Amino acid sequence: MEQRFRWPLVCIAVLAALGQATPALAQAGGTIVGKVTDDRSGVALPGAQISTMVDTKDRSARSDQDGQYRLIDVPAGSRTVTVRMIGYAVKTATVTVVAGQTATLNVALAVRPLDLDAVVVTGQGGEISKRRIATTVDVVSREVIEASPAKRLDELLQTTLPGAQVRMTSGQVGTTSIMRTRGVTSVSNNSTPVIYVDGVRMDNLNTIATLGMNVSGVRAQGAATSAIADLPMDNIDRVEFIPGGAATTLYGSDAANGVLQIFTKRGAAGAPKMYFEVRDGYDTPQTQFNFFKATKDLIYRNGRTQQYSAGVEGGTNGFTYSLSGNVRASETQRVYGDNTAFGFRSAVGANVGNKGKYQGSFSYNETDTPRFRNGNAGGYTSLWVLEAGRSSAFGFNNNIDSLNATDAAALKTFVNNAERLQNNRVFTRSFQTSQRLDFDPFPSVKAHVTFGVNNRFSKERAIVTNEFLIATKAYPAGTTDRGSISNYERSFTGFTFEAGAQHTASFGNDLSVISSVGTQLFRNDDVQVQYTATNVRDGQETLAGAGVTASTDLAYRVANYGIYGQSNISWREKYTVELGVRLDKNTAFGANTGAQTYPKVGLVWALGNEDWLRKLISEKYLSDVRVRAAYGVAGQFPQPFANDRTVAINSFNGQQAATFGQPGNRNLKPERTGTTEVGVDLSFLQERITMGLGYYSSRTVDALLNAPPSPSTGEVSQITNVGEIANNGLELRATVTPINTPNFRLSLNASYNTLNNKVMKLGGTPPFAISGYGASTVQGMVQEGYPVGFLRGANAIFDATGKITEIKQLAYLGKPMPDKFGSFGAQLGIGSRFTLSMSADYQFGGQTQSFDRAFRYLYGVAGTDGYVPAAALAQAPYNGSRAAIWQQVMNLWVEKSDYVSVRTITADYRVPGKFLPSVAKDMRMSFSVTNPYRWAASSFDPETDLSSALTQGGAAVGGYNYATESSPRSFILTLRFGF
Amino acid sequence: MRRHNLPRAMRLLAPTLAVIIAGACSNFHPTDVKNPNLTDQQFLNTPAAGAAWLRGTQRQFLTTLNSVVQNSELVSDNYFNNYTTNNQQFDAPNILYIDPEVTSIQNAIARLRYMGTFGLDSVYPRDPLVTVNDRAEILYYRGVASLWAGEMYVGLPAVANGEVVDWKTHLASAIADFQQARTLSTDVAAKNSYTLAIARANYRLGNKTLAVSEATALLVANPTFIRNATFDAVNGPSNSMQGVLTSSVNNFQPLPRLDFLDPKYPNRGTTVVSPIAFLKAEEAHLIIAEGLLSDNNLVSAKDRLTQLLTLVKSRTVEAVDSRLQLRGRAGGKTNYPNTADSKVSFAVGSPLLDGFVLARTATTMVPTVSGTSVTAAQIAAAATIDDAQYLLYLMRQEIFIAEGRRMADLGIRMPVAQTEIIANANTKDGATYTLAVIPSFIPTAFGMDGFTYDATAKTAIMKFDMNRVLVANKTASQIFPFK
Repeated sequence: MEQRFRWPLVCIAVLAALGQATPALAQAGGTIVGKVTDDRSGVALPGAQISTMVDTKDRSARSDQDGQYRLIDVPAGSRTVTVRMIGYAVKTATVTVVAGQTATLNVALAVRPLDLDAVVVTGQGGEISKRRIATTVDVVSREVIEASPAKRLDELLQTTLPGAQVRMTSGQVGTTSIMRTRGVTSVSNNSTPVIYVDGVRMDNLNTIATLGMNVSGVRAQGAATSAIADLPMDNIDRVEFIPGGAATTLYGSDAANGVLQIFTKRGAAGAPKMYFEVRDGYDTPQTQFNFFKATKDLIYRNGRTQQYSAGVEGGTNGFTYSLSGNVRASETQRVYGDNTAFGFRSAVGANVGNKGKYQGSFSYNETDTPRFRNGNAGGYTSLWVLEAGRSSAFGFNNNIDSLNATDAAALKTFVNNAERLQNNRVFTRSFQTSQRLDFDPFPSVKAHVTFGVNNRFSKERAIVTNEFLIATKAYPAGTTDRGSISNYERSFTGFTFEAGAQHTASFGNDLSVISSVGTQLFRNDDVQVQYTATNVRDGQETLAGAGVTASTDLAYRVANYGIYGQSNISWREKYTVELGVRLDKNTAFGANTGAQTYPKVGLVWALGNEDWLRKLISEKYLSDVRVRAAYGVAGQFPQPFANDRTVAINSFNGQQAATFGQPGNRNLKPERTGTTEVGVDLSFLQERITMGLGYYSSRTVDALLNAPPSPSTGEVSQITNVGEIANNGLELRATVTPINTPNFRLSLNASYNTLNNKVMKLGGTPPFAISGYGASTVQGMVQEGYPVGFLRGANAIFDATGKITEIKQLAYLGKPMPDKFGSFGAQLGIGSRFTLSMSADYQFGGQTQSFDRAFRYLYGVAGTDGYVPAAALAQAPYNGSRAAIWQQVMNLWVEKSDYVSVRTITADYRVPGKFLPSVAKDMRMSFSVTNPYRWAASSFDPETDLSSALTQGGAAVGGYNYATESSPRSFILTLRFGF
Repeated sequence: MRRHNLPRAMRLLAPTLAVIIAGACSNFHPTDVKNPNLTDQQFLNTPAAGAAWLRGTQRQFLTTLNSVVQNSELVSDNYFNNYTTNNQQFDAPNILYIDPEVTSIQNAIARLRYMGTFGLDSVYPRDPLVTVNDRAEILYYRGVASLWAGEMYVGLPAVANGEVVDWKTHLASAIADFQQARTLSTDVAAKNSYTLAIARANYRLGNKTLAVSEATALLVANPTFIRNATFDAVNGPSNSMQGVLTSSVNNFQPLPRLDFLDPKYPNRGTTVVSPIAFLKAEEAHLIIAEGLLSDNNLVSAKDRLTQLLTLVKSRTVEAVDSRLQLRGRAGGKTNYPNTADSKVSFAVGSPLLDGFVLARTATTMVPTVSGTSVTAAQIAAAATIDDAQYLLYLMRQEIFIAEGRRMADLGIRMPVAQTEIIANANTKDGATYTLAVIPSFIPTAFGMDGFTYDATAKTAIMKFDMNRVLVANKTASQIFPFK
């Protein structure tokens, strides 16, 4: 099926928007220069925006590497200069400018946690102050990013996005996580937000690919490769995140889960500034949840991690550049877990004429990581064998802490061989480029064109040797024909194009209107290939010469394109109205589905600017208050090609065999999530206390269900828009600065979110599983009236003596999604050079099922007798058989997944210049510990609960503790030298 | 706002440029997306679509066969699910209409039927290359779908989202398709398979005369007849029963008294999969013998069973590398006897017998088409109809093991799936067809798979001899079709 769009019209529109450029007249005047610094540390702040009003229009500049700035052609007279920087309070100062002369104005900025004046762009069609936006926008600043020891983006976001929940569901490097904000809006699409880097949409696959390596049994339910894990982390300037709802309306059919945008450093004018950074440390396992002490020494170790980064940036007024690169080698906590990564990124900015600016960036990175058998891979799966008592299957006493020396040595040899001979690797290679051209044809109009490409290639390769199979007792000694090689390649190419213009108009001093229009297109090509061989001779790493080879491939392609418009109308910045709309088409829609319209409306009332309020409460006590409300719709498009009715051709005994493919759906359309949100932003005591109180309620209609057909049709499942899902919750966040003296500054932050998620309608389709195992164990279900992915299985009711009185089959056992979650942290600054910080997150009200515990019982590990009441085990029909009873008491294997986890503790010190060699300008030294402490209500690690999306891009909520390792505890020393 | 006057050249140039750009853009289509998969209309217009569809139907037959065999073997007393994969409830047996496997088997059967109907109605009429034998074969596969519906289920819709029709109607549909196939076909071997399929459907319906006459006709035409279901080792489907019988974890453990028949489908390497003898001449003898016993003709029945024994003895016995099947080695849920000196007793109080448990070596001898423990002496010694019926059902069980036949012989039928009830307006929740038929004489809670094993004495005593139970309850309506 082909779908076409009137693409030439878009081209003309862009041309028209850009063709307006005309030269403007230069004005004579004076110059303002100065330096922008952090008020506590005195460190220069590059990238701050310095502006002054000239004829009702901003004249602005950005500070360079050394914090220096220069505003030219400023008309003579007394001028008010405003300085803005993400993460700092806006500061204004007055300076007198004399024509032909240079005035100096140095500005020291104070850190400001809840920065209402920050200028953001994501979801707005252009730059706009947060003060005028009715929706939540979170910004993670460069300071926070540089101070974080996180190795991957989602890890960084765990404690830096107050309204998001991010969990690393496996400790294996490079595997999928669960990321979500505002609940789960879909049972067919993953909750991971869309990710942009410098305006270019990235591969955000955070589930298995359709064709992929299986080291987890039910493949998705274990360590699957994630595209999020290898997003480049160096040289990030800031991250903006907008949750799904009115904030993401301008992204149309792609944004119900929110949009995360990464802005990379572009360099700032000034002499070349270089840095060199060393990170050295080691990972060690979190063993507190291990059942056996022996497990630690059998498969874990203290593995060293080294990372070296270097970069240079600088430029002139008309040209800036930034170049950085890094290389990492990590042994990880797993014996034989060595992995490597390297990457580099470059960015340039150049003036184009005197009204335009070009910005381009390019990044490339590679990773190479091993993968270990986990989840329900069966056979030899280390944590199943050791922690779940399965070692008895291999001839060992499964009470591995009480083995005699001979048996312990035999087990160690067995495990070491099995670990050593596993050869599963994941190799990724990705590049991304973003090209952006800004034109300001008139003082009131800013136009831009952005285009770019992201290509991510991943190759997963599993080599199973005969030696491994014999060592793990899967085949008898002497076997030579059972070796296999499985290769899975996925190539994702995403192309993004966006053109837009923003117009600012002021009517008198009171009314200002900022309007944006634009067009956006993205196209994703996801091509996957699988080629495998069996009967392979040990040592062979290619398919050549194998007894049997086989291959298959598939492709997902989708193009999404639309136009948007938005108007932000503000009266004295007291009363602001936002109106916006996006019209969207997408090739994954059915033939009967036309363009989709996504509207939004927002209201902001800046109470703090009201004179009457100021008469009641002084700014000294209630520094600022703002009330906001918004409603907006965002969508989520269906999986590509699910709209077409197809015939599947299979290779069968060397010939073509045709069968029914997917039934097709000509009415397929996006899921539409309408979100209403209200909030209050408050700051007290001159911003010593800031708070954001919000509530959202969203309703997803036309939810896509991959619903089972009635079996008598003989059809396979087909996605249809028949569901309805509701989410609502509170979003509270606060920052308190109880101490702020020249020598000490203590800042505390916390967030608290609630989540109510419920499937409202299934449109007549039967309940179905989106995760889990057989119906006789436990499955994550979708059913009307229940939260997405709730756990279902046999629920045994016991009497006072421990006997089972009733077993409710296929009963509700719990839900993986928590009721409450959030993060908290503290930063203590001592003097101007030393900072101690801590960050943590928590969840309450969720449940997770533990196969590890169930299997320990099943396999009769000592100390597990109490897991099931003895009276129940003794009663008929179980008659003492653990095999007969363990699946009838699935509720006993479900535990509360409450946890509080300290993610990082970091001590950071800026070494004084007098201790540095003359070549170094500055040096920063920090020491951090990740995952130093975790409290959990469960007997296992509740964070490590598998990502559980059964299909590519499918919904995932976790909920299973099954032979999977926790994230490591890491100790990292960072030395960063500036030259 | 000030108006900007565009230079005259620009006023001319801009529209010209716009036209050029529009033209250029029209040659680039970033929003064009082509589905690499074949749509149904594209397929129907390709040459020789009929042959591809028939192969697809054959392939679907194998997929459905896998689903039928594996699950019905679990339900029966043949195997215990010693691992944690596969359905645990079926093994008890506990068959609920909410069970996903009840749904998936029903779906697999409907898909096979639908493939047959779509082939006959939509694919074949457009393809001039289709032969009468192709038409016969697709009728046969559609008939097999109805045969399974009639053997395994209480009732099922006979068309998509139709009303539930009872199992007898499905068997009648199967017979109609098989007969039409036999009328059309010019292929002798295929015609024999249709004949045996007609006998099998009539047997389950209790049509003794027809069943026996068709069975007799088959034996006249080919006394050693076999129609194998042949799998694809490379691209699948593979024989999933072979997988669970030969994996290193011993997923399916046969009842110790059936140990000598395991693994019926040996692992033959990476390019060959063991076939399943879907229709074989043994069944004709069993039908005829059962007919004779229902007529109280003990002498002729014993003679027939002896002929059957001769046929079984003539079938292949292979040396199988069975070292991985050391019972209990893989630490399953229950330990099994695993040495040749083990003794088994068919029930509490029955004698302990040798020869039923095999030593698991690189050359364990296993029958791979049909095998039985019944001897000519046992047949000769049968003094009563019940004795002979016991031997007949023991032989049925042993000969058909791992072929998915035992569940029906035990009188167990699956219900219509809840998924069907919810999505199909022509069905009704609470109707009798939403409940499985499990005769009251069937022990629950894994009783059929139960035995006590004394590892020291190497004795395994079965809890129930289900063939004795069947004979004791032979008047029950669910079993012994020939009344």
